[in-house]
Formats: sequence, structure tokens, C-alpha cells
Amino acid sequence: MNETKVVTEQPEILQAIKNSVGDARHVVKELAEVFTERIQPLRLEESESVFNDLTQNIYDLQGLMEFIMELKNGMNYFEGFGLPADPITSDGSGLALFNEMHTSMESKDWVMLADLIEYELSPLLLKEAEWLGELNDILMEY
Amino acid sequence: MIFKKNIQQLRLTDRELADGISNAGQSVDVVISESRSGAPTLQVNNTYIHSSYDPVKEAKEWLKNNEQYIHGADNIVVFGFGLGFHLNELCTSTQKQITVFEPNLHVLKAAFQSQDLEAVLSRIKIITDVSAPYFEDDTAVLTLQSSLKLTPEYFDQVLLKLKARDILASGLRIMVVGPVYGGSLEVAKYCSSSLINMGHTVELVDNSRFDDTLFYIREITSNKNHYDALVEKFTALLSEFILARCEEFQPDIVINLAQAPVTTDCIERIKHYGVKTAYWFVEDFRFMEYWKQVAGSVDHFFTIQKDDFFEEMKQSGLDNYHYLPMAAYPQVHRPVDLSEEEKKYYGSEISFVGAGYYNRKHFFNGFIDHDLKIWGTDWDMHSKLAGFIQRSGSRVDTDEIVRIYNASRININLHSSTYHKGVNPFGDFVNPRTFEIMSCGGFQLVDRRSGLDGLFEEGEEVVIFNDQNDLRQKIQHYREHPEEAKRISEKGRNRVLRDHTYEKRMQEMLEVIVADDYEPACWADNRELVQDLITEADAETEVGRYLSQFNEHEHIALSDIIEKISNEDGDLSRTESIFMMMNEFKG
Repeated sequence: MNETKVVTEQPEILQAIKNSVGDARHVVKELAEVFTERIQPLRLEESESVFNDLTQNIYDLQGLMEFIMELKNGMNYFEGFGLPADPITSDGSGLALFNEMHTSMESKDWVMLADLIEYELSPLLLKEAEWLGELNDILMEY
Repeated sequence: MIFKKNIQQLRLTDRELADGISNAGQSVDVVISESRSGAPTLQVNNTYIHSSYDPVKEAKEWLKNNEQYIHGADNIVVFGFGLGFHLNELCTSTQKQITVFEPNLHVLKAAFQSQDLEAVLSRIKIITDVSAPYFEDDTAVLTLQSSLKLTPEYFDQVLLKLKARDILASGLRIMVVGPVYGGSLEVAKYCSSSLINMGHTVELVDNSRFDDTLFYIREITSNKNHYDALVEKFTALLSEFILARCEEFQPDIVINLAQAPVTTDCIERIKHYGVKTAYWFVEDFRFMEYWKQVAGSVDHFFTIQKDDFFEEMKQSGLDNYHYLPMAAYPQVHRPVDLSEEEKKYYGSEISFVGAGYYNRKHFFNGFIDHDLKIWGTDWDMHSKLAGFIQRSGSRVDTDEIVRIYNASRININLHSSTYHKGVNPFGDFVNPRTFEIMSCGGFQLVDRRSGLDGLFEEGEEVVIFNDQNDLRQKIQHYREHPEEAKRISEKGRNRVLRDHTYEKRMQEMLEVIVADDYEPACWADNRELVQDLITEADAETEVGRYLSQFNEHEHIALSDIIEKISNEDGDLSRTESIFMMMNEFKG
């Protein structure tokens, strides 16, 4: 399918993607920051409040995941604008990471959870933000 | 190789722990693996204690986050050893005294096996039990959080102890209530003196001044009802005295010794002021059943027996009991230089000091072929033992007892029993004599008691006999090996000085009391800040200079000044006369 043709034929979808990508990029960056802030309290406190905050963040992350899936569906109409698949959903690495985080939370292994956030999740979210940035740049051309 | 090196380093400062770690087996729950950075990391019960990515970076962050606390403290306490990454960073960043609490020997073993800890071990003290040291200055408590959840009760207990020591460091006002007569009279005095030595302000209510009256009541009637009624009224009167003294002295804590003449009503009234109350029941619960009345009325009930007694108290719905064995008072129970004359008079090959209880009368008949001296009251002067009983069974005072313990080659310590012919096979508590002989540096053979477990190391610090035959063999052995007896005596004395003094007991008792949601008593506050009083009087004036001697106390009242003046000899100074006059006007 010709990309330009598709873009012309699906203006509502294109507009919806355009509108949401900026917001999504902002949310992803914010989440990356918030999770990074949780690392030291997790390692140093292991308190109830840290746990509650983290639960909320993970809930937000799930929301983001759902949004990315929607976005991915929308982008399928445009063959992904020639971009490689997004880092979170591309090879299931995001899902595997979330499962690992879930296991750490269940076993109350806060050190492992802090590690996963520091060394896996935060870089992944930053990559996702970069990817959304690239997508945003492409969309500006339409 | 690393393990050996680490153990050698630890052995220089803590041989016992080094042996403990060496002998600790491997635990399947403690797993060392390689982190992504290449450094080792640790998992306990499937939970990571250190980062599995970069534990060194994690430790640096830990230090950075704790820097403000480290900076403001004189001593540092760390909860949790892990593999020691955080301790390595800490030791590099500060020269302050560092104490690490870690109860898990398997974790320590893992650390010793995987890390070069030589530099860390030369700087820190590791504590594996709850014997928290006393820190005079400000202490920062830092935690390796992941370690805490492995043994949360342990760290809670240590934390409570450290907090309690903080409160105790400022000095409390403590009233010690002694009995009218009996063995606990001396104990009350030792407790009181120990508390003073520890820096507390103490009032000893010495009820022994009323002993004549109590004995007179015994003589006045043979009618039990009359006797009981008189004793009850007498106790109520003494209780009122105690309460009156309490209101004057305004203590934070009242410690009652066994047989103290306090009614439950008196205890309730003392508690009404928010004063914490304790009772040290230095009695055999099987014979003295009055614990049933008193144990539930005080905040904390301390006992010299545990297992069966604890079970019985538990059955009675009590949960305020604590084990606190007897002790020695080394300022009194000490080695003394004896003259040749004293050695001859007080010395013998084997000796016994104590009252002539049923079992002792039978037991010592088996030793009349020895150079035996028996000291104490209530012995039968018409028995086979008569020739061995010194001074016809008259009373021996503490000073003489100390000389006997010093002069005897072997001190026999047979706990009393009114229904056994020798060693009571069910005996559990350990009598004061056990600690006192050792504190004097005397050599002792003591009958087997379950309570001795954990107090002394058998064969190293104390020698225990099981029956008459066993004692005869042991006497023979140590007669032939005096150097062995001397070595055991020295070790026993060191153990008493380290763990079994009245100061240790009082510290333990106060820590229990203070750790239990302690709040200062709510007396109407008539005490003032010493510094304020000095400033008001002007430090350079006579009164200002006089008051400056109270600087070690934060607050004082007129009654404290009067008490000090009353305890001193010599003529009153002008300032002292003024305070005495103020006290008269106040009255």
C-alpha cells in the first residue's frame, strides 16, 4: 500500500495519532522520571508508602501500555510510517519485564524490583520516549 | 583463602565470633551469585540483599543517602552486614566508631567467603545478639534495609534497646524498696548502690529499721488470726510510709525487692502518678506463693526462675514477667589479701557457708572425713556435724563470708532443699552464693541446677557436681590439680565481672522497663533546669558556684539540694544554711 495514499484516505486516524503522540511522549518521560525517583526509597526504606506509590505508578504504566497498543493498531494503517516497532512492545521484552516486576513485588524482593526499574524499565521508557519523538517528527510532515 | 584471611582478622578482636562463623554450616537459603558487574551478590530466602546488577554502585548510593546522619553522629550503628559492600564504603568515608548488628551467621559466613573484608573488620565491631553496647555520645542508626526483613524481631529488639539506653543515659530517679528482713535486704542495697554507680538518683527505702516491730508482733500473740491481722495492718502502715516517701522523692521508677512491704493498693497508687513499677522476686516460686498477689499489680515482674514459673504465670494470664538471675556486687564480693592468722581462721580444705537446711544436714555428714568448716545458722549442734560447725552456728556477716570464700581451697555450694537428702534434682534457680564465690575469685563446686545453663560454661568457668559421690571425686581431683582449679576460678570471676554483676542486672531491668512505651512520671513538676538556676543566681556568685556542682543533672528541686547537704559531713556553709532555711519555710 502506498503510504501517502493511506494518509490521505485516513485523515481522522492520522489526526488522532498526531494528537495523542505528543501527550504519550510527555507521559512516558514523566513515568521514567517518577520510576527513577522510586529507586532509592525502594532500596533504602521498603516502607508502606513507597509500596503504595509504586503500585500507583505501575497502574499508570499499565495504562500507558494499553495506549501504546492502541497507537500501534492505529499505526498499522500507515505501515508504521517506516519506523521500527516501538521498544516496549516490539519483541515482548516489555511484557517480560513487567512480569518480572510483578514477581518481585509478590515476593517482596525490593532490591530486585529496584534493579529492574533502574537498569531495565527506566532505559526502556527513555527509548520509548525517543521512539515517540521520532514518530512525532515524521507526523509533523503530514 | 579469603575466608581464612577474614577469619584471622576477626579473631584478633572477637575470637568467639570468629569460631562461630567458622563452625556455621552452609545454608541452602543463603546463595552467593555473580552480579552483572562481576561483583558477588547475595540472596537469602530467594530475596536479593544486594543489587544483582551493580552492588558497589548501590553501596555508594547507600552511603550518599546516609551521609547527613553519619556527619552528625559520634558513633554509627549499622543494622545488617550483607556482603559488606555498604560497610566498605562507610569505613572509607569515616573514622567514627562503627558497630554492625547481624544475627545470621550464615550471612556472615557468605560475606567472609566472598569478599576481602580485612580493612572493614579492622574498623568495625560485629554484634550477633541483642547485647547492645552503651554509647555515650550521639549515635546514628543506619540500615541495610534488605537485611531487616530477614529477622525483623531481632532488629526491633536491638532498636528498642538502643532507644532505652538513650533514655537511661540522662539518668532517672529510682526508688528501691527493700524488705523488713531477709536475704533480699542485701540485694536491695546492692541494687541501690549499683544504680547510683550507673548515674541515677536513687532513694533506698530501708525497711529493716522496722524489723524489731515485726519480730515483736510474732512474740505478742500465738493466735494466727491476731498475728495475720497485725501483720496486715503493719504492712499497710509501711506501704503508707513508702507512698509518702514516693511523693517526696518523685521517682520515675520504683523497684520493689522480694518481701518488700508493699500492698497492691500502694502499687496502684504509685502507678497512678505514671511511675513505672517493678518487682524483683528473688524467691523460689514453689515455696513463696505471694507472687500470685503481687505479679499482676506491677508493670514488670522479674524472676530468678523461668520455665515452670513462666508456664504457671502464663496460665494465670500474666505476660509481664522477665527472667533476671541473681548476681554479685564486685565492690563487696572481691578478692582480699588475708593475713596468715585470717587464712588459718577462715580457711579449710572445703567449706560451706549457709543455713542448715534439711538436705545440707544430711549431705555434709558424708564429708566429715575432710578438713571441713561449716559457717552459718540453723545447724544442729548435737549432730555428727557439730565439730565442723564454726562458732556454734552463729551468724556470719558479709565481710567474713568474703574472707571465707577467699580462704577456702574449695567452696561447696549446695542449694537448699527442705525435702531432699542431697542435691535437689529439680532445682532450677541459681543462688547468689554461686556468683559471689566466683566474684571473690574463690574456687567453687556447685550442685547441678538447670538455671546454670547459659550463665556459665561448665568445666571452664564453673564445676558442677551431681551427688555426694561425684562431689567426693571432684574434691579429690581438684585437690590434686590446684592449678586447674585456679584457672577455672579466674575464668569464673571474669565471667561474673563481664555478665553477672548487679549493675548488669539493673541495666537489663531498666532497659526492659524503659523499652515498654516509657513516659516520664507525671509528678507536678517542681524541678528546674540547673543551668537556668545558675544563670539566675549568676555563675560567679557563691550560690551560682554552689549550684554548679549539680551540673551533671538536667533538673533539680530543693529536695535534691537538701538531700545532698544531709548526706555530707562537716559544718554547713553559708549557702547550705540558706537552702536549709528555705526548706524549713517550705515545710
